[in-house]
Amino acid sequence: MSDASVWVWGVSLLLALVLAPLQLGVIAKVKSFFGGRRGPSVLQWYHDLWKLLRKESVCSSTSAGLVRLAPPVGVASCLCALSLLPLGFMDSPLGFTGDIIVFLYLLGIGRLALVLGALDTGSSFEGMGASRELHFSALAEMAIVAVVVFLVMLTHDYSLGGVLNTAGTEAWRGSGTSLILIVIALLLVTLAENCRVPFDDPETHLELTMVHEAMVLDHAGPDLALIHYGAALKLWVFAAFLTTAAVPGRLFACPWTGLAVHVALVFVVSVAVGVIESAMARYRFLKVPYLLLTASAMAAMAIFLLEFGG
Amino acid sequence: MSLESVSLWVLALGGVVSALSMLVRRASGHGVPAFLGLWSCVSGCLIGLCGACAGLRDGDGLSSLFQLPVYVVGCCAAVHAYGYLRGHAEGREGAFWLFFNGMLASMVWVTAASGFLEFLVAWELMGAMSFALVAFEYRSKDSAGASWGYLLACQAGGALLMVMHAMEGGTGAVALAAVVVGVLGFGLKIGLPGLHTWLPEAHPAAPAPVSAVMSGAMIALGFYGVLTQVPLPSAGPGGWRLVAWLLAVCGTVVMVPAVALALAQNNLKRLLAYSSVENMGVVALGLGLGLYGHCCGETLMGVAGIAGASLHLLNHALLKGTLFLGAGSVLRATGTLELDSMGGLLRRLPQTGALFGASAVSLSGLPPFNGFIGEFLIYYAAFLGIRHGAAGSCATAGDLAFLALCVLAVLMLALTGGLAAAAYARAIGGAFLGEPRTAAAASAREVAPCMRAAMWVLSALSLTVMVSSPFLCRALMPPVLSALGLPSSASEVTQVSCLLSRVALVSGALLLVTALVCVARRCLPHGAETPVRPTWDCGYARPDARMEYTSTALVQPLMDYFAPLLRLHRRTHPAEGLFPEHGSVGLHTEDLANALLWRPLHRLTWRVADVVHRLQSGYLHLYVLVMVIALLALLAWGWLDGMSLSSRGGMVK
Repeated sequence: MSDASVWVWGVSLLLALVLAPLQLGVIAKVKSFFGGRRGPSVLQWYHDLWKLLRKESVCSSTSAGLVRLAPPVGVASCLCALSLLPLGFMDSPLGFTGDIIVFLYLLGIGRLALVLGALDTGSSFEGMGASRELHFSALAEMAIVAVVVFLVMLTHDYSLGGVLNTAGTEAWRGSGTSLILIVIALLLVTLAENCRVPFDDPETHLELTMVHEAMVLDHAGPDLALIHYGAALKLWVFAAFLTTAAVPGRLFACPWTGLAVHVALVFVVSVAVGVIESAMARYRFLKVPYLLLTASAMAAMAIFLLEFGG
Repeated sequence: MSLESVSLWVLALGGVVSALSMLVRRASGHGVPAFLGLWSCVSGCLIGLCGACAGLRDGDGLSSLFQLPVYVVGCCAAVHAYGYLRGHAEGREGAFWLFFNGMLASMVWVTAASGFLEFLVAWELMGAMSFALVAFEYRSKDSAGASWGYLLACQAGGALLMVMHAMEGGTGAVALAAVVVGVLGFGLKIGLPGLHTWLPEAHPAAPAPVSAVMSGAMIALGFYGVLTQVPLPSAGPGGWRLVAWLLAVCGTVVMVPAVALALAQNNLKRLLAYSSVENMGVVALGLGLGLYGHCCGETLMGVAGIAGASLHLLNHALLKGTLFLGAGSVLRATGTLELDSMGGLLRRLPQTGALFGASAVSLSGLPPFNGFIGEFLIYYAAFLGIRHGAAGSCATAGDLAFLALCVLAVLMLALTGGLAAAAYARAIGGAFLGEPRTAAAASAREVAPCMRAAMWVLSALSLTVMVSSPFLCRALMPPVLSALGLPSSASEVTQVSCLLSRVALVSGALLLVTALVCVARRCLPHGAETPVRPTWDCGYARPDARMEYTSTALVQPLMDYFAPLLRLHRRTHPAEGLFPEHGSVGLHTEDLANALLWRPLHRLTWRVADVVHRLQSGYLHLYVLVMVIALLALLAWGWLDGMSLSSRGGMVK
């Protein structure tokens, strides 16, 4: 591994940490554009996080402490997952064979911590949110693992770097149909895991219809800031995963071009999320599982096409 | 005399002496028999543990591997049992320790037996001892059915093993059938799909320390039986092919239904029992993948699968031991095992709750805990299998079928992971978090020190396994592989242990980053101040336990998916009238294997028994007639056999 690629990867990681809240701003801007409003500044989330960090927190009298532990675990698990991903189309220097499994399960521990934190408060709304989160995430996990199985079969590799980076232009030429299916499935998983429309509406104000927001009703101040920052990081993780899988990384001769394209693509995903949120309403809860099973089915079909299609 | 046999004798004699002391000094109550039983058990286990560690270096790797959980969980369960039984066994402690020590001794004997006959005797003794312990609380409502079900499963398993032995040495289809019968016979102990129904009945009925030993160490011995006693059709790695297929298919099939059933249980120990079925499925899958890898020359896949299965076996023993002991402590503290009648126990039993919670999260297979490492290696083996298939070497239909199996196995592992997290979220959330739902839960107190100490020791060992997994893999793998008759490949073992060290590093990094974020959060201007207020519940001034989401409600959406499998039915009594007095919703589930397989089988048995019963009419002449008919039949058989022998002899001449 050359020096330049480590530098590119490191700078990408730093940019991810700094720019993650910007994605939320971009999404809000896109939505206000479609709504015909001026909307808040793209930097609004930085102001919000800064304000929350200086406030004091409130702890539930029912809690046994897990509610305070959940936000740091969420942020830490996203950070560790991010540091295993290939960023800027460069393999992570921390990656190893089989890290793809560790990556998926790191996201799992963050989620379980949040669920247990929600149950810790004893609130009925948070129980409801936790129930929905467990429900959807079990299905989303199967979908993303199906995607990973496809990528392993395509590239004959099982490190994150190998799986996401080695699929070159010949992969698109040889099995383009399956790759299109995989990209759609990944987009669905990205929306589901990050609680975006059509799976969940992060801007709803009615507790009964919340998923992720319901689980964090009792977080305040710095804890809430950590939750929001963790969510932004998670969105970055999935956007990076999606774009790196979709775009052949070996196209770029100069590593720094790759970095620029990578960051640009992550924001393209944010814009796409914003467009989807503006264009459609969220699904009823009963329909959400079908959409997730559709994602799994698409990945399964891609596997079939790859194995028997040619 | 080896350390193993010393420990065996200490255990056996200790149990007998403890029972005798109860007979001699009936009036002494808790003191003498419990003291004798406990110390003989602990010393026997510690001596045996030294022996097993030495055995890993220069003995039979496989039996040492399976002895480790027996000694470790047995020792901790004994310490826990000392507190668990106090005041609850009414002068029967001697009997408990006799059977408990006897169970541990027979389990050690199973792994030390040399021939099939000796193995079978030890195996049946183990079943009998554990049956006595399952039936120990014979006055409770569920005990009778559970212990009879368990006895039947033990006997059926023993019968299948004898059939397997009779078929040994056959050729062609008979040799293959012997393997299938053997896997089924041991599968009754392991809890392979359809054969698992005794587990969720026996575990809740038995005292918690017994459940811990049975779940952590005993059911795993089924794998020891499969690996050592099943007659292979041919020598060398190729002989494992059928066993590999059976284990991998059974593992893949059993995981998701088992964890779905775990999810649906309101009884904490039943939930844990179904989770044992699921984890044994994971181990079976790992073993199957590993053995198949050796069959088709993919040594790395072979080593990863077997290492994953071995580590998961050890981790499951430690974690499930902690969880069952924790469930026992909860039972003593609150008097119930129903999750929907607990709540808020983490504030009342902080140590028990924290250890239970950590073990439960670990067993759902999430980093940075030790439950993840075994599953990680099994995933890795399955991915290697997928690559093996996808790399274009699918020459035969068998290879293609194996590729499909690997893909399915990975998907099922993923779904199992998600559902296991939900099941344990239910257990932790229902029992330990939120507000107490009953007065008994509200007045619960932390349990006796020895009960907590047992859980602490097991959790500390879990931590040790997590930190030392690369070394453990390097120490375990060569003796285990050579005991299985597989090539012991140093480079692959090194590769696998390197992977484990990377996983351990990531786990360490996760803990470190979490700690750093916590510290950074505290350093904020108002980070250290945390005013305590009631939970915000949409403006209600006094949130009440009845407003909480129950643990059943938490997983109800997921249960709906598996409704046919769980035979889920709802009993709804809607609230009626303008001022409704009552209204209730209840979810009831049942195991599909019980309804489809076991209940018809029981009915058939009863019908046959009814017919046979007519012979036992009490008339002497009928009995004499039966004896005469039996005698004549035997004579006729002997005569025909002699005829055929002489005719065959004639042909030779």
